[in-house]
Amino acid sequence: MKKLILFLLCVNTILMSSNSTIEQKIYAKTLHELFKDKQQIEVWCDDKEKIDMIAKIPHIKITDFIETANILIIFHSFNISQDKIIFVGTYNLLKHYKENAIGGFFWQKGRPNILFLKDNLKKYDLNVSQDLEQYVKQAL
Amino acid sequence: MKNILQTYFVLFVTVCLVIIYMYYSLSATEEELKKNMQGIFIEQSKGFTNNIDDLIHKELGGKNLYETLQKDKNLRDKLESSLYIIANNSFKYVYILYKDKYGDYRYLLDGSHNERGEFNQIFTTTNEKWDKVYKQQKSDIIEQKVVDTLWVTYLQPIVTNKKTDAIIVIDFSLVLKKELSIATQNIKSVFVYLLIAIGFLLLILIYQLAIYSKTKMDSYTDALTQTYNRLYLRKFIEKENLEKYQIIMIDIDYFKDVNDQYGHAVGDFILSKIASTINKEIRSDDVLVRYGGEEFILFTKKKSKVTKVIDIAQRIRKSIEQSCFVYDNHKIYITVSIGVTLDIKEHKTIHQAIKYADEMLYIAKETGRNKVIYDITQKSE
Repeated sequence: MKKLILFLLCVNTILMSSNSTIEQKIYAKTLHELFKDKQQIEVWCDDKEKIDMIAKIPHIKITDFIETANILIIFHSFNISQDKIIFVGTYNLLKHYKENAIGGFFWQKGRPNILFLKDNLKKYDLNVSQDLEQYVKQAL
Repeated sequence: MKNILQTYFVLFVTVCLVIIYMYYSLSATEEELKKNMQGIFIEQSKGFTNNIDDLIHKELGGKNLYETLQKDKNLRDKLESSLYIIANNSFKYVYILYKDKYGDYRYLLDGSHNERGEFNQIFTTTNEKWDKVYKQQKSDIIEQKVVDTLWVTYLQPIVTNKKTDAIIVIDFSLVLKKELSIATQNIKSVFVYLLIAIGFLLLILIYQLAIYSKTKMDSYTDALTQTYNRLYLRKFIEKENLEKYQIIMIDIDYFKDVNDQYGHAVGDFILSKIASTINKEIRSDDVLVRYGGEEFILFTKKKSKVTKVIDIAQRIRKSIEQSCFVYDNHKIYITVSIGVTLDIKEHKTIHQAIKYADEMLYIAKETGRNKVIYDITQKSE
């Protein structure tokens, strides 16, 4: 019940926010859920605007080096070959990186779309909380 | 003046209430209009989705919808073209979703002009109404709260042989709703500006009234003694029922000597001190007027015992007699003579009643000063 209330509160807060705030909150929740044990999460991102937004999230450090990053958040690049945890910003990228992308967040038809790929979460031994469980999909 | 103020106040309140009422009426009308527009959209959507449903059933002829569309890209293109015709600025997105074996919704067809979903692309939604429509096979609407570009989503199931194959979805754009809000907002702003203007006028009026009251008070006040002046006395006599008052006429004894001995500045000082001493002995509803140079007239409310006024006059006399007025190290002792009219009704006019008090005062002066006289027989005493 408590979790439900918390989730509803979270949803309510999200409803009251602008798109960019929604996006920031979703990234914050996703990153903190995925890397619960880390004091500081190193993120590599290929979009200047999104870097500014993600950098404002607590416990997040933006890195310029893919090798040291805990997660890559990709919006444009189709040529990442490193075996890293990837989170994408478009559906096309999700299809492209279906082997190692753990999920993606993008806007479609005015709606925020978030989804996680079960097999890839398992591959990197990552878990999401019950709140995000409904967005974990079996297949792309 | 009081009546005019009350009338103005009622007028202002009425005008303000009318404006507020109109403002809220407009809001209610706006809501009603939005509801009507939503109704029109739903009706139109029903028509569109029924046509789409007919078209799909006609094209498929009872075959499995997903499998047929998966295999036949040409048919997908053809049907998407049909959906494309429906989509416009108001009917922003028109698409068809099916539910896969995991319970996730995926695109079958998308006729939207932009942000098109691919065949089989996942569509994430957590709203239970989608499942309800799928299960109950009845169309429904979702009022969008999260999405800031959409107003309402219309959902209609495609049912074949009592089995739901997919859902036809039409998203209605928020543009019309916003335009309606903008249109009414302009009118609402007029009401707000009117209220602000009225509030501003009210402030000016209050300010003017305060200035008027102060000027009026100043014109009725004797600047030296801060008691009422003869102008006020005239108004007071005109408007008040004086039968409920008794008159005390007070005159400072040997005031000319004070002026001659100490100068006019001291004379003024004594006048103001005498006025404040009298004021301390009377009640707030008594009216003290500087009647002449060193003469005051006091209208005091009639008590149940008419001779009570004599006690008040004596109290004033004693209080002044016992006071020591100090000016530039000079100690000055003053007495006053007082004449009283016990009952104004016994006199034909108020002027005669005042004259009577003046005559009693004259007797007090004649018979040694520093005394209160209210009856002519006291002269022989």
